[in-house]
Amino acid sequence: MYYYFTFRSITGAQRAMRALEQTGLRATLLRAPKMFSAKGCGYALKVRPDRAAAASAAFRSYAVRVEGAYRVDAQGRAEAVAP
Amino acid sequence: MIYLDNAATSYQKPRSVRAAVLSAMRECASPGRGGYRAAMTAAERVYRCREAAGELFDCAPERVVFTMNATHALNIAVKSLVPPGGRAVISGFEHNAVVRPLRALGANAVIAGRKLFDPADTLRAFSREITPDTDAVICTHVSNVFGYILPVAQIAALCRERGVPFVLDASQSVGVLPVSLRDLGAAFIAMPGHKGLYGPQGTGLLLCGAMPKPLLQGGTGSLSRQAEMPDFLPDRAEAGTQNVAGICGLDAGIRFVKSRGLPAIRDHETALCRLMARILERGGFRVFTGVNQSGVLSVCPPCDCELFAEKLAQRGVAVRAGLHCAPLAHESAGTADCGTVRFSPSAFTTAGEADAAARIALQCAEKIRKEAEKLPVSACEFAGYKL
Repeated sequence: MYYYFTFRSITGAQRAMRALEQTGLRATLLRAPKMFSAKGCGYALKVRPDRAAAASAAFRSYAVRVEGAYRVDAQGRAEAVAP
Repeated sequence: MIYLDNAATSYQKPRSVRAAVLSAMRECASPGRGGYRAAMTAAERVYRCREAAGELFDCAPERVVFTMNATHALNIAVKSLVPPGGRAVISGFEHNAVVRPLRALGANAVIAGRKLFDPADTLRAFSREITPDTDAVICTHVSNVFGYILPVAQIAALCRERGVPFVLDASQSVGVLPVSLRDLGAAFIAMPGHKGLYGPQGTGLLLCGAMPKPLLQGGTGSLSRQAEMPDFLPDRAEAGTQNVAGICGLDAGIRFVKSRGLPAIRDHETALCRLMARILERGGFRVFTGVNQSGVLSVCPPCDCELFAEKLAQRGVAVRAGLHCAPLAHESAGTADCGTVRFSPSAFTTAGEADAAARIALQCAEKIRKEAEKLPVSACEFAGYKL
């Protein structure tokens, strides 16, 4: 299972990535899966489930705007969650 | 060649800048578009440059917009704030990059402060002209012709007090004087990447304290299903594929400036200008100097300034003559008819080069005087020889 945090732009996602790095967290920056970017073309940070809460806190702490958050299970089922 | 035209573009670049450009051309695809390694490498390097610029200019990385040059940045700033027929207050030392967009808008460009090297007069004039119906104040930090450092911190403070957006043209100050988006509270700060930041030509920055209006519309790699440009920075003002190689070079240039330190660069350039001014003044040139002066020196030679610059070029000295795309500044200083010859050093110029350039200028002047004595008056008039 993984969490995906989505962002409106590559710059927004990069800023979020730096917030995680400052907090000592790791994530993978990638193109947002189509199902998470209804407005077309976005970027996402893929975060392990045990780091998701800390990642959310880091985004709040660094005033990073998160577009959406999704939990994706091992079967690929996605569920929107509160960012 | 002794290169003294750094106010136009810095020609001698740090080795790290050349290396960064080459590396980008080898390793970078389009940033913010694909998710494969070459695209993500490009995105990471572009963001590093935003961070480096944000750190140097005191703003968040997303407020750093990449442009082609300072002119591009100023066009975005001016057209974001001044409506057609609007009112803008500008200094008497603005470049055509400010004057022409305002003219194209049919704006009333009110000129404030025309006395060279007189910040008190400049400030009084701005205070008088910034009225409640002013759409924007646009002011250069340093005159590209005379090196006059305008009192922009005080002008920005006036703008904040009166609720008028302030735009700074930092074309000649960047990399030499401190520039802070946060401290100035500016709506926009425009600058080239290829002068004092030592990046390649084709690079510029617009620091956004306000939301710009897009000058171009197109792909941004974000919100693609939306027909309008995104309403967030930097995407709103960055349509189309970026100059990644240029931006990577600019990043290396910014890091070079940080490593040298602004005070060291400023002191070096100022000392070289003073050295040249002393020599040229002794040789009878009209030299424009003042206390509030950055690393740009203008002089009136004993003949047509373009012919004089040509003679210097023949002796291996590269300078810029004429009106420097700033006729307003020349009108303010009373040199619109004759123009000036401008000497502008960089962090790479040595004292030996500055000294040699000034002495070559004296030799050229002496040669011209001797030539003029043998010429008929009509020929002297054509060549602008001052007998």
